[in-house]
Amino acid sequence: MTTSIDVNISVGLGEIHVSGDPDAVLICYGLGSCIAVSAFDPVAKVGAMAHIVLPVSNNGANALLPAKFADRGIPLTVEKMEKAGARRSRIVIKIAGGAKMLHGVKAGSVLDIGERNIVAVQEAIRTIGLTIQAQDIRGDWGRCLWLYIASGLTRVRTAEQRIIDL
Amino acid sequence: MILNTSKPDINLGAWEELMKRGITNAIAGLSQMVQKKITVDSVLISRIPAKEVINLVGGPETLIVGIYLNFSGAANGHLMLAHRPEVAYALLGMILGEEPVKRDDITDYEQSALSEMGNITGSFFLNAIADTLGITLYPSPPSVIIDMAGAIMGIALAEILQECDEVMVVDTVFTTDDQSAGGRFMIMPNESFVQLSQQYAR
Repeated sequence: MTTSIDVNISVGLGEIHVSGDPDAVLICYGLGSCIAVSAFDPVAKVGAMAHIVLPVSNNGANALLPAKFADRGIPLTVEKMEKAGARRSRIVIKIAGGAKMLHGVKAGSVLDIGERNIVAVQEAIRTIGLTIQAQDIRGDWGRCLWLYIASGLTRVRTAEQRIIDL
Repeated sequence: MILNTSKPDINLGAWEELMKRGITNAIAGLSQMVQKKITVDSVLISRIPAKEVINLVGGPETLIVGIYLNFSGAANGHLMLAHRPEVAYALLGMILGEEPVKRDDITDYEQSALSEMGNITGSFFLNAIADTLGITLYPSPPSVIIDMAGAIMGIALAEILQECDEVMVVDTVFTTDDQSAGGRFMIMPNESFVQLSQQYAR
């Protein structure tokens, strides 16, 4: 009998991580207004996670934080997956986050970064010809998102230990 | 007060001196409120990646009680009191006379007391800065949030990351002299605030 040990890989603010390792679990912790974008090719078993912080870049890409902006980070994530053996047409995308952590912020205003991120992420995914298969977004609570490369299982957990499989 | 600094790119002396004034006043205000002597254990001034700021409070998944406010006026920035929940409840016990009964669902009254803690600390800090620089700063009403550190810290970090990739943070760790409670007071200035401090050196 063989056993595998999960290799947890934390994807921090503005980071992208791609993996084809069946033991790997890509995780975005503590998502508030940020959005974790999980992408998985179930045939090639290649997955990626991007930790999006802001909606739209205004002065070009950033090598240190490649996924800081949705409009740059999402196309880059898919390109990296393709280089790792994924095929774009097979990629399944699921997202989590985009909360409004401050109650004083008017919903939909320029200060509501969570909502602006949701719109930007949806638009960026649509622009590259893909769709969002499942999402757990909005609200006023934090989330963590897990992507298990072995199976493509995408799981959300909140601080109150509520678990949702997307 | 121990000052550690890394990656300075400004007249650090001016910024340190200004922060020292603000922090001393903030802690004095908090001390009055909880009716205990408070000691500052350390002050760290750094310009670091956003995820390292979150690691200061235990990492993005760590459950914390965050009392957040921002300020505007002559300069902008973010202030946060961050506590492990049991420490926040001990501080509440000092203010209200008893710790919360329901640990996972504090009452509105208890939430107000925490909010007032943020108000006092933030206002005392900003008053010292404003008086020193001869400017006006307006604090926002505090928000009390009990959730994962990454989600709470993201409020400030997302705004700062719009302009740059690293975050200037002034991180003060403090404890009551009887060791019964403590916490951290974090200042995350927008670049405008850091630049304004330079005039203090002149």
